[in-house]
Amino acid sequence: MWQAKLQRHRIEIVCAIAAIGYLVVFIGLPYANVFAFSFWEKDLYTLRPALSPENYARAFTNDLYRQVILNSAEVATIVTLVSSVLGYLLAYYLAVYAERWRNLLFFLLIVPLWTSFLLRAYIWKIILGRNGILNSALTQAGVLDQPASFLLYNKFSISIALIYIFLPFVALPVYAALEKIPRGYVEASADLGSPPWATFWHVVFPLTVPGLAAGAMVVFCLSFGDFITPSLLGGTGDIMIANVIIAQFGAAYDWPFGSALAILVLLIVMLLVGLSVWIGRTVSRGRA
Amino acid sequence: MMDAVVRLDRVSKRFGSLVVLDDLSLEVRRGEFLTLLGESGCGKTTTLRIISGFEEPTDGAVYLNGRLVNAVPAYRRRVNTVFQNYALFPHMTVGENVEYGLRFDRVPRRERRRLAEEMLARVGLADKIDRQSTALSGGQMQRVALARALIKKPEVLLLDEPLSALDARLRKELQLELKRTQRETGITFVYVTHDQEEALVMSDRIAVMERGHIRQLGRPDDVFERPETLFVAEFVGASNKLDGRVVEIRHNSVIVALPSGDRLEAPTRSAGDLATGTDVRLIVRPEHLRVAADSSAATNVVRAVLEDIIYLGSDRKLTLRVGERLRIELQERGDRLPPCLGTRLGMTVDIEIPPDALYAFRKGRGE
Amino acid sequence: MRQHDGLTRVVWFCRSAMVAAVFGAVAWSSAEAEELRILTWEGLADDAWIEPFEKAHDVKIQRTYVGSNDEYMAALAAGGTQYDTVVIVSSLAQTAIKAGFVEPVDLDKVPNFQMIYPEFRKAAFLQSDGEQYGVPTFWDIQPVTFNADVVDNCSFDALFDPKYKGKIAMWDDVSTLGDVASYMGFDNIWTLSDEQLTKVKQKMIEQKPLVRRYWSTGGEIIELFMSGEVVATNSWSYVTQALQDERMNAAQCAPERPTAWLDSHFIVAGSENRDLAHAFINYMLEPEVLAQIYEHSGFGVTNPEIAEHLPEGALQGSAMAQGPEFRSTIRFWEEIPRRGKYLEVWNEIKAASVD
Repeated sequence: MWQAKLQRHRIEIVCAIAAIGYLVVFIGLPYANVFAFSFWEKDLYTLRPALSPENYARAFTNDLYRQVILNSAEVATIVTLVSSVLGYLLAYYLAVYAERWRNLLFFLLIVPLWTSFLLRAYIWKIILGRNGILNSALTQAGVLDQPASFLLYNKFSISIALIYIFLPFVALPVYAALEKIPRGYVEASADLGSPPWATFWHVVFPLTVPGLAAGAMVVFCLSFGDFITPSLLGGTGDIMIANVIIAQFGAAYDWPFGSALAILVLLIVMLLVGLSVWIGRTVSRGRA
Repeated sequence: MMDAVVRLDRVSKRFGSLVVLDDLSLEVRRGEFLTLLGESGCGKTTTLRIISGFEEPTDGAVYLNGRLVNAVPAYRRRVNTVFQNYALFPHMTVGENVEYGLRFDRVPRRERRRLAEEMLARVGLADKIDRQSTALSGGQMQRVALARALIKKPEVLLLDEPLSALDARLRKELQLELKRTQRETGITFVYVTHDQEEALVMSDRIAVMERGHIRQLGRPDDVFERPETLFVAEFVGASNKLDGRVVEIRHNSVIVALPSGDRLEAPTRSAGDLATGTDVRLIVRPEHLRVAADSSAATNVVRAVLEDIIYLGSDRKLTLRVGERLRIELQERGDRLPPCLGTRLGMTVDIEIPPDALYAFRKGRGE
Repeated sequence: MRQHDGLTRVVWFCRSAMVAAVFGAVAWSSAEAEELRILTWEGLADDAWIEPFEKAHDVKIQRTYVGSNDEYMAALAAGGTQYDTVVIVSSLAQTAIKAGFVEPVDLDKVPNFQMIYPEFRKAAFLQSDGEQYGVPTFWDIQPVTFNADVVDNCSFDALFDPKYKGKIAMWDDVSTLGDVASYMGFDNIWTLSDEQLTKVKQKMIEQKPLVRRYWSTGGEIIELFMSGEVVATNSWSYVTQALQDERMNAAQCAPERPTAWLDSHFIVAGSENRDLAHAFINYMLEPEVLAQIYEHSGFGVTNPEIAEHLPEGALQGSAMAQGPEFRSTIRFWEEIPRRGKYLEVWNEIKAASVD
């Protein structure tokens, strides 16, 4: 009897084992480890197991950590907003208007994903630098007398690189959502007297919100936790929380404190994401 | 003229080299239930989409209430559609779906809700107003789609095979409901279907379409009883087809010889061009055939072998074989059939075909 | 059945792998006698000077290279007695000694020790309980590298000169705190008090409007100079060298009380080739050898006698051209007991808003 059952649910069991295995090995264990570490104590080059709240106390009492978390949140917010708007427009164009160019544009959207993150961030150094492509073009065109330095090494350059890198993360799910909307919905809306923009606002947009939200969330989390871009393109004041955490695991050899910071970041990001999901739901319920 | 709500004047629609509508003209009278009947690809849905504004005609003019609307976008036409798959907005509740169109008529929110309740009550779904639209059955979705369109008080309601996704019983029920709604509201309905029975039951007039043309436009009984073309005759209603050749021309009729040797007289009606020797097809409805009384001297009798008797409640359907290959069907009320017919399975019976019930059409070459 | 076969094969494979490993280990230990195993930087163990030693002592030198200071500690912590000698930077010397990774040297077996700059020989961080552990071999100061087309008067002051607003760079590392603390006149630059750290922090926050970039890799600062983004930074000699190689008019100068790194040879605790290890360290101090290394890598060395083996003026511009007074002002990188605190302050500087 149970053998037959086993036989029948074989695929299901394999999938479940894979899923649970993944959760345990790649999420459960590492986070449990980091969480445990966050209560340890550190003595020069030795780490001691303990149950000390000291690391968290330190994170809360020093303004530094609040400051860098705010830095990260600011950059992540800008990047999320801009890449959501641009990504949406791009996806909309692709799904609705592109026709002949769709495949080519789609390819161009995907291609950067095949190159390394580092390269994609680094390329902006070449574009925005003093002797960069943009400055050369602007000086040659006579717009600037001498190369501008405000393009690189600030929040602007960090944001622009992250927007560039993360835009497909919004555009792709939105595109998928748009593709799935039957033409009938749009026609039904027009049929009921809705001008095109109202059809977009009342019918098309709400149906793409899940895709948009998923994309935006990924972008927010990834840009919040990024350390490569700020260290490559950031200015003297643009240190982000991930840079600080990395320094704890490297230069400072203070894993416990780094773990505490990582846990705090995790909580903050989860809180923010949860909050935005809740707001999104409330708003869409109120509006419709 | 003035009571034509919709007028299509020599409308053609081509997609590339594909001609979907070919020089089609049609007037829809105010308050009527007009059905566009035809097989898929005949252009009936395209006709509907041209009226609603989703398609622009390649040639010709579209008038709504006498006004040329070729360049008027769909959302500005006082025409609403019930879609084949209902196209209910999945992210809205039933009530939100129904009141949706009123947003654009500047109806205040509360009034919208009230009207939606009213409209849903009319289709018997008052209690579902706050239900998510995706949680309904097919028939319920259909009614919501109808309510959503009717709440706009359209000049014309277009229905694109609205019942095709439902099972037979529900379809019958909704056919009557739709017809009743149309009568009560007085709204002009233009109904698209490929189901001739549906068309016969509901319509005031039927336009039978084929390959981008209207082959016949008339009352259901006209179309059913007096088909003007072979296509209409074959398409509308179950038909027996008897191929033969004209062997004699009389004053108002022709004599047609069947391959079995039987000879039948058929009225010529409008078809005056049937010369002797023309190949023709005779069309006759199963219910018009009669089992001839024994040794009756009736004219227009064919001999046939009784192959089967199918019980249909009050009716019986008889399957008969004429000559070697030709099969015909006869439908008759059970009490009008000769008694003990069951014992004559496999035997020969005489079948009488009243000349009035026979339609002769020249064969081949389409129309 | 087939599954069974597969399993058998896996077991067989594992077993043979284990056997191979055991035999390999045996083979390894049997070869031990004729081998000296050194853990060092690439560039410090070129065939040019390693081969003569191998011939003279009939020994094979097994070289392992490491890419960063942190890796040394990791390799020593993990490697047990896999090495005989190791090169350790001054800031990790005490850590290695305290951790028991290294053992004292017998200075009688390293006669060349006496040739080393006297100022370096007895550095406290190379000793413990009155015994000498480290034999200083390579060193360099952290210079100020500058673009001589723009900056005319080189000193650490240039890094705080509003004239170069937006064109200054600073190394993104806690040791930069030491540079600035030294520049500000603090003596205990690696053991600053909170109050002193605050002062250094303020100084560096004041400097921020002038700073274009806190750089972290050599490649990055070279590119910043080449692209004209910056004109001066606290730096490494190697950077100046690279810029000159790129035909840039770059130069460097020593700050008034410069910080410097010092790499020393140590004998790994438990080495079974102690005599050979001592001989090797002594050999590495030979002027002929160090002269080659100096020419080869550009690193400063601790034996001034190399001048005799180099062409006239070869030391020009290098920290080695300076006299004993200069050397006595040098602050070597040392262990920072409150490294976490230093790093926090450094991050606070980086996080401070510019205006």
